[in-house]
Amino acid sequence: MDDEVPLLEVRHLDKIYDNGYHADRDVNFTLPAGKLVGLIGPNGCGKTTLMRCINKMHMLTSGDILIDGQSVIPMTPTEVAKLVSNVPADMTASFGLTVFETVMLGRYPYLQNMWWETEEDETLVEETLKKFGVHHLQDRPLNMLSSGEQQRVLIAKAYVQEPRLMLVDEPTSHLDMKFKLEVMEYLSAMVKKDMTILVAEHDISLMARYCDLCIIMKKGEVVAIGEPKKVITPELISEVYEVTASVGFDQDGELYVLPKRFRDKKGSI
Amino acid sequence: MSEQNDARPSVLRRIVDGNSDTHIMRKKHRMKFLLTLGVLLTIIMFIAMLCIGPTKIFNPIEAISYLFSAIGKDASEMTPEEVMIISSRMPRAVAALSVGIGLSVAGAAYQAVIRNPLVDPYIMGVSSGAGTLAIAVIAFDFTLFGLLSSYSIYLVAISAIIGGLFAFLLTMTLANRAGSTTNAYVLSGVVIGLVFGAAQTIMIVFSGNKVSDVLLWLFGSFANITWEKAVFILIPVLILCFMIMRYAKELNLILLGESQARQMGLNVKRFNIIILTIASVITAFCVAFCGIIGFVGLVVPHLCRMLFGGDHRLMIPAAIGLGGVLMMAADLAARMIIPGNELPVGAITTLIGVPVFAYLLFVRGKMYNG
Repeated sequence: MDDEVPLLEVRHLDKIYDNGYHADRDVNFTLPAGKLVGLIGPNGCGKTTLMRCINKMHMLTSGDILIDGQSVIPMTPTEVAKLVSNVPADMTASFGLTVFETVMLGRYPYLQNMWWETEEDETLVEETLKKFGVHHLQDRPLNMLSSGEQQRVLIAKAYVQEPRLMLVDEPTSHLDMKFKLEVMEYLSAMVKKDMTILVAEHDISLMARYCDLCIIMKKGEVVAIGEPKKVITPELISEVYEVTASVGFDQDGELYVLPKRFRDKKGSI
Repeated sequence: MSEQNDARPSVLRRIVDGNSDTHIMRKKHRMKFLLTLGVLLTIIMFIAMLCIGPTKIFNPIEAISYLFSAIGKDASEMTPEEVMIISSRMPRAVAALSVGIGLSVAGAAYQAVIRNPLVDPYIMGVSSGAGTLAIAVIAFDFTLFGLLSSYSIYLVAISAIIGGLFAFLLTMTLANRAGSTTNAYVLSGVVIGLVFGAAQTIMIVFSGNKVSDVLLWLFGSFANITWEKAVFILIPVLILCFMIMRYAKELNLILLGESQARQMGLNVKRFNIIILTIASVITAFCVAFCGIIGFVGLVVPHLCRMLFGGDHRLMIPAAIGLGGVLMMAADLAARMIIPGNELPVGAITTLIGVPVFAYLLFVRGKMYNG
């Protein structure tokens, strides 16, 4: 039984904001360890709210979230930070914090009462910087890097936090084709036996290419979860996005989605 | 630090960083360097403050021997030189040192929490609130509804502290109502500052023959400092600065933005309130006896960032080391530029501060909000 405990389990999650907006409705799913998971859905469908509930940035209205079978609700913020890290869509670091210093801040949850980080922390950060190809930039201020480089630094920071679950919110929104692929390559290379990555992203073709699983959301509810090639169909796209799209496979067998036009009011083409 | 990415001259880099292989060793080396530099400069400047004055200039050995010969003596037995050193120049040096340290650390803390390089210790309206009550006391003999005797040396100071903290509380209340964002803090501070500024202007108009006393306080000066006052600034300022230093790691974390800091395990709302409160109390104590001295709290943190990098574990100790030294230097200049006529130290710090700040803007402007 023990090895069947899912890494993440979301049970009957509901989130209603103070202004009455019902962002997530009865969300239920489980994720195994070691997967790259895409979270897909239109703007405002509750993806970001869901992620913020998972790392306790927002309190749930009802339901429960379990990581390794343990509810995050009674945990302290530091305990959650050791289990879940997060890569924001964009970030500005003030006052010329360097790349090295930014990534080192990922070790903050482990520092406790120490004034300086340890040699082990430094080695981990050095290796991570090399892994993400930003080692040569380590003494530059973060805000003098290109968006692609900044995104890699932010992922590196989330990585040295040594989480079980990494939440990545629209990592490629500012990036061109090449950098999009690059970020996804880095993310899929990072997935290990014991770490799962949950990525919210609009580019469905990109998600289908890299993700092991995808979760499709609409208006706060999960409408489908499973392997991208099985789940993503023209009917699903039509239902979720209210557009007509063709879903095909290229010569390498990769799935692609080509949006064509708005679906008319009756739901037919 | 690889050379092409470092704006500092190579000699400076070698002195500050040493030949360290790892980042942590380099930071530890910087720490040793800045502690040595801070202590040395502080001692040198402190002795200079004892030696130099408009009435008489001693050489350092004379000054120190007067200092030691005066220790243990009763005030009535002291020679005029001993009196000058021990009860005039020394408290003045202590006060300048404390206020310099306090304003620099408070400025550094405010800049990090509000994440804006243009913020100074007066941003939360503390100085305006302090000024308003201080003027009420100086010009209208306001005695806090009879709580203090109108002859108490602490009357102006305590009123100023109360006024400053009252303005700070108003700012915090307004900012919390407005959602506790950094913009809410800055805008609330500005608005509250304007209200108290307007109150000051009206009081000054009606202050009659007390107007010069009022202006003297507002300009900022270390002229009337006694030992009691100096100690009353030194002790709270040092304690509160070390409290801020304990939060150095969290000040680094908050630079990533509030939501990142929160998801790394920091209780951001509580942290903001703690730091802003400590920094405001420091500011209130600094303003209380010596009036409003501008620019130190704005420029010293930037200077420390240029020399030692943005890590607050280095920057806050650096601000303690350099802030006091620079304030003592400015006070020395204020006394000595026109012999016999003491200039307001606030004017001197601003005159020195503006070119430094302009230089920072030219050279380092891009480094901040890129």
